[in-house]
Amino acid sequence: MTAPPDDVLDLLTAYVLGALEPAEVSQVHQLLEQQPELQRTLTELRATAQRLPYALADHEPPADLRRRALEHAVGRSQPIRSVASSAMVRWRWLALTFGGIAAVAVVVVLVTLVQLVDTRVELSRTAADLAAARAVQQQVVAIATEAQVMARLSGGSGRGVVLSAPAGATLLIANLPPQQPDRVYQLWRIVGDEAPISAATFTVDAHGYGFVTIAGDQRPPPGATLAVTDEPAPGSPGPTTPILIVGQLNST
Amino acid sequence: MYTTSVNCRCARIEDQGARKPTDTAIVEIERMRDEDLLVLVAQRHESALGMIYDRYGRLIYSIALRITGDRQTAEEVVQDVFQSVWQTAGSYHPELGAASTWLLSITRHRAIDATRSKRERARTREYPLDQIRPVAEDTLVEREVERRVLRDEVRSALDTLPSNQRQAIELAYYGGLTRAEIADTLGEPLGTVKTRLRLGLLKLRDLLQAFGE
Repeated sequence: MTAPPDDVLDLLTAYVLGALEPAEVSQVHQLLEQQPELQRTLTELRATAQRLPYALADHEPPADLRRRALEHAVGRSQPIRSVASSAMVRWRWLALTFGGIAAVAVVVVLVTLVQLVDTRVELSRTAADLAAARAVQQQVVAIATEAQVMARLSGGSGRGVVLSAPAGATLLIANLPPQQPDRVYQLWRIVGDEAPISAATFTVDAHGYGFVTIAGDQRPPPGATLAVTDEPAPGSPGPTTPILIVGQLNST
Repeated sequence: MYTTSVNCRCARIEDQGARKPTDTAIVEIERMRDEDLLVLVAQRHESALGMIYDRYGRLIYSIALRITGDRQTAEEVVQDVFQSVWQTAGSYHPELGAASTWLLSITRHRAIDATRSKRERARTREYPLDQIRPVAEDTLVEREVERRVLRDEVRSALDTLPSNQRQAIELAYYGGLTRAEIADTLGEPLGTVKTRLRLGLLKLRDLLQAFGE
């Protein structure tokens, strides 16, 4: 197999290391669509990057971290700091408390003034959100009346449906939890044993509804698995978080 | 089918009281693959989550410490990672890669996020890779041996890289910096950084592939 040119390898290496700017990430997604043979090189480079942490020096965690981590994980406690750091925090609180009392009085006055302004701003934001939600709903209804269901995606965090629209476009409509501004949902297509390939990224509105059009040349083949993960904007080279919803395209 | 075989194993654990495992059940859990443990975690078996901590807790903590450079933040990242595993193990999909890759990827991103949110990047301390601390005995010797072999291979491969290539890779992977940010940090032209990342990672790939043959 001929090695990809250096400029392409520059992009792929930086891609798996998470060192690309958003526009460059999109460039890599396009390259992978146009030249599927690059997937092999990408898979090798990704496997290499994923081994880097094994070279790190071992640092023994505090003895009580296991108990704290597990109790926090199963919901029996809030995140607990180690005994030493808790003591330090208490001292900091004592030092800050006295200075804080004076500051609080000033803040209360300021907050009252700011709240009046905030209320107006909030009302306009809500109106904008409602208008956006209505526009999305109207588009969804228009599409759903004529579209054909190609796959249903489900999971503990939400659900989605992939539709084949009359104009030939493929649409994903999803209902997922709203995200922070620096996060996006990423749709992955998985064919057989191949590594997941990004098919699209999208966001949801304040009500959790979002949709994305999958371009014709990125349309997943019949039988492909589709999955959605929550990723840092503008998307990731490979999935970095658990699958939220997953489903399989109809085989026809 | 993946799920079926795991369910068979889980059934044996269930018979022996999974939430308060007997000695036999503990031995069974110790022998399980990571992917099977995640299935048990999804079924709310705390002992399986504990086993994942025993296998990866130190590595996860080491990665978090390397990225955040702060012990307290690293501890918080570890707690955050295990909470995420507990809450989302059911959505782990083996088709997306090995369970270890999934765990370490969550750790890296959580640690980078924590570092960014606390604006501590400038204070990130370097932990030289040659500061090796003896590793404690693990119950599963083969697993530990396998990990040590991998660790030695990756360290050997990294040692062969010119220091500037290694530095660029570490700033990208652990620092969460883009190529332009690396160039700014090092005061080097962007093209030079691109070349260092490319040559460095390709050489690592070739060396690790050679080790594996």
